[in-house]
Amino acid sequence: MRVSTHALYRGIERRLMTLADQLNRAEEKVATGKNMNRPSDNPVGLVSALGLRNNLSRLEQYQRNMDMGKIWLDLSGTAIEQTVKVAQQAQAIALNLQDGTQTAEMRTALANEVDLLLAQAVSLGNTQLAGKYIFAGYSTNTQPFTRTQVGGSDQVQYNGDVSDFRVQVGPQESLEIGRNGQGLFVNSDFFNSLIRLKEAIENDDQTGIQQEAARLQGIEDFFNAQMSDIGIRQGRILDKQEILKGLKLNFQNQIDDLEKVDMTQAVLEVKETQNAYEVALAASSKIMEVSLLDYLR
Amino acid sequence: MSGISSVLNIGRNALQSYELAMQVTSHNIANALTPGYTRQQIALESQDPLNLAGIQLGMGVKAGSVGRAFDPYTTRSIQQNTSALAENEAKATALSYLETIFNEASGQGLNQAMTEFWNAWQDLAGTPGGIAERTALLQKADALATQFRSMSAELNQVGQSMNTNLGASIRDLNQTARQIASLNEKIVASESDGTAANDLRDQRDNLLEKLASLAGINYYEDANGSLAITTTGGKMLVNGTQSWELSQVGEQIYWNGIPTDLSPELAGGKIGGWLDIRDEIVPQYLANLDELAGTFVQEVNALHAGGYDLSGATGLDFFEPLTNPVPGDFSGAAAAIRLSADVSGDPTNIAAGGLSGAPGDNENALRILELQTDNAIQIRKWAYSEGGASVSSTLQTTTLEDYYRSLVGDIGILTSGVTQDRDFAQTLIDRLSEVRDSVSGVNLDEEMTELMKIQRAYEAAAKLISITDEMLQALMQIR
Repeated sequence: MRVSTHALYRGIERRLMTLADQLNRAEEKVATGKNMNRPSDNPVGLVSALGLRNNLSRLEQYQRNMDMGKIWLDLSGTAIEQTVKVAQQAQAIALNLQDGTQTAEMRTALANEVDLLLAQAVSLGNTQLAGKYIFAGYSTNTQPFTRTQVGGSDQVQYNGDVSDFRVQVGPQESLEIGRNGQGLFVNSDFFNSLIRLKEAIENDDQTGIQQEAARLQGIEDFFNAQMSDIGIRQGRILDKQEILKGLKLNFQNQIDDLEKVDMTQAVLEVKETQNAYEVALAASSKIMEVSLLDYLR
Repeated sequence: MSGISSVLNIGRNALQSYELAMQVTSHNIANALTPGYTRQQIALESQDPLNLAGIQLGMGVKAGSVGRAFDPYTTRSIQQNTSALAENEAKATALSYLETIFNEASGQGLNQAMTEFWNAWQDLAGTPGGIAERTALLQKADALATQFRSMSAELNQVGQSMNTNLGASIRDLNQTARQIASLNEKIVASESDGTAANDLRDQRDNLLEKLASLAGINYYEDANGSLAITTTGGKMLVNGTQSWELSQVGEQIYWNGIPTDLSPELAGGKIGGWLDIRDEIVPQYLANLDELAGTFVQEVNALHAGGYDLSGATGLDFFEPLTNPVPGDFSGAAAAIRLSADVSGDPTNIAAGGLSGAPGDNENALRILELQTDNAIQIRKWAYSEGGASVSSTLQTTTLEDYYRSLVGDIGILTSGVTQDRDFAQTLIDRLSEVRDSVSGVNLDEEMTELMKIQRAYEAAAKLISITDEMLQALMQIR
């Protein structure tokens, strides 16, 4: 084929430009460490990477939520464990009194001890986490249990509501991490049982003391059941966190596969393109030197 | 006439012919780098012979004509593909900018803003009574709204800049059409006696190529050598010595001052590419962005209004409600989205609660969070075609994030498609140009050889004259 002088130079120019563009892109990959620097580089890959990144961010959020859930459940567990101990102590006092041999002084002392146990139980019901009451339902800023005297007798009043605090632990999935005080302390009748026990001791009411000893056993069983329920939920969080950890790693790997440049390969590509570019430059300069004019005199 | 004087005459004709050939070659050398120049060739032919008493005597050489080494078929292919190349180049440039508006590859952008918005709701759900969490949510929501608004503004900006580009191209097109009309006149005049107007034709072919790069055109050459050009839509641009102008009035393009918008029927070339960007691609992405913003506002507000703020108030808006009178019409939503007056000044007005708004009530926050992964959201996806004259939408059932991701994917696919088309058109034109140049282009080595050939022939002809002269002297010396 005839090649015109202009076409020759234009061809050289065009091929050099193509190589320069390739070199530029190869170097961009090395410099950014990314395979995709704009949507058109790999539209399908970018869309997957975006989806994975969203998933990853959600997983991290779920993990934070579960971390918080763990703290709530741990604290609830501790509080309930303490409550069981209070109930056990009260029950022990009741059982000791059943033989009816105690003097009035001793009874007064024991009644005072029950009074202290009641105060302790109320304060457990008012357990706080970072300034928030965890047994108040949604009314986390309101002290849920207050002790008052009505007509000379003790009363414990519940000021919270009957909702249980939940956090999201997965898409369309939430977990109860709080228990409202109504379900836990009011319905179990724990405070009233302590109040009745105290009054029975003060009045030396043997039947009353026996009744409360039996009731307190039931209450202990109830709180123990609550403990195991919390344990189950703690276990669920641990399991889920383990799964999420695996998923997270998996997502991260997939994102890296899509986005991250294989450095060895990328650097080799730069090197190769650079060589090709240099060879092309050398060849072009040789071609440009040659002319018939050099041989004419 | 024969004999010595005839030989002298042959020598003289030969010298003259070679001078002409030298002139043609030097013209070729001088124009070796002129774009669109077609190599010229002189046709040397022998003079009409002389019949003399049964003998036919050759009478030497004459210059027949100077022609163009022209390849009409390839030239026409180049002109046709020039429109496609220019259109795709114009589109690729605009798209590479549009792409940066939707660039999520860097990890910034709307996708990130949406994720941070949802994460802020999560934090609020963890501490529904917390003022810090509420304030953080307002900041993230404001950042999301700002991102929507700035994307919308930048898309509009791209549309606007297309108008500026169009204005310049239309002026260019009008001028080119005028120049072609005036060249038509010159070519017809100079070819009326049968002389080929080589250089004028080169100039006109160049202008024709420029015109094709500005807009899609059809053309034909009449018997007189005059070129008639119409747009692909059939509007006359050049006919004979007359040309017609396009004018830009606002967003519309008129032909010959007639106030009918021509933009839907202009296709190809830079003008076609820019019109595609302005009337199809930008409005489509703007409509889809509006759709996303509008759905966001609608869905979040519907849930938010059902919740309770910290003081127990309900029925509050989170985003400023859309003012479009037709329900479900989200046009302009991306430009308008902002925090409502209800929440913007007072973070306690965020309705995180679903029951009472007690400081531990996060039920509504949890409900709003379900939106993030709700894959049953009904959202329309718009498609603009035929220069914006045909607008259709399909209802998609998806999550908000997936919808946006599909937009990013679409623009990536569109951009890489147009870039490929551009590269293909470029390769095609390069190949065709090589073919054309192999016929029409000037090769300097060839011209040098030609030059030497002519020089030697010229020397020989001069020698002929000097020998004839010697012969004449010999005659003169006879006494």
